[in-house]
Amino acid sequence: MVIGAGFGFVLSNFRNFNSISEKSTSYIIYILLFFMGLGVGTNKEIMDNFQSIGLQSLIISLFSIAGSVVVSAIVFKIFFKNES
Amino acid sequence: MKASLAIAFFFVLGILMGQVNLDWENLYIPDLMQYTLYLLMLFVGLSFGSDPRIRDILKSAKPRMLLIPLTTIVGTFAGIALYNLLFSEIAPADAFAIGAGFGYYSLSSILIAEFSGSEIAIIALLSNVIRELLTLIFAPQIAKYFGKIAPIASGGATSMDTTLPVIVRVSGKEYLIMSLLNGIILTISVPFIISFIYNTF
Repeated sequence: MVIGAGFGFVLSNFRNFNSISEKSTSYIIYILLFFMGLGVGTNKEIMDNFQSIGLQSLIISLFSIAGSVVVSAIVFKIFFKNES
Repeated sequence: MKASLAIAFFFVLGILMGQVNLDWENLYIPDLMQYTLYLLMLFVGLSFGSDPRIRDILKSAKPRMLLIPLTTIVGTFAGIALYNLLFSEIAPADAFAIGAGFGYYSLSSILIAEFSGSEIAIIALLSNVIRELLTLIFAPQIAKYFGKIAPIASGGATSMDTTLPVIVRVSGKEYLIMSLLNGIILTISVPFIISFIYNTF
């Protein structure tokens, strides 16, 4: 990633380079997600437990968001209140 | 939104193809994933290095703004720590890694698949998609009750693209740069934090 950023910075003088590399990134993500889907589809344990997996996912995101917003409320009060 | 649909499509296509009785074992899916992953990291770097917006944002950034990505990281891990105290279905290191996706579901779930296998990767994928969705839906309430930087922290890595419009709407234009900076720093941090978690625990 660091190597890519360095090259990207140098190559950014060429026209459209950024949009080309962003498009390539999405295509590679599609390919990887296809492989991930394959990994899941061929894994019987996951296919049988899909409901509990979904529930845990929801709970984890709720805790992540709750933690983030509570800490940001504190940071906002201390450091940013005077701005608005 | 179009990109999310395409991602869902390819993921579901993979699941369906997996049901077809072919000799998938001989494809060495983990190896294929690993090399594609290296390629992906190269291109994520390329996109960042060549993005003309990045330089402008970094120029107008003030040191105090770095508090926001820090807030997102500390807050997320505080939430996950609490989760680990209350639930035991998922190993603590896995839960922290899932949280460390900060909404960047594609990259984080792919990385986690490498470290921890498909089941945790699926939870990472769903959980981070849900984080983005909940932020999109509840940004107004979050801003109202927790202050104007809360929607940025809630959006995590997505605060630079998918959730940016909502954040600017509920928190105001003066939070645009902070939202972009938060998303950029978290997006870059995701691979480092996830590998750090698995290499440490």
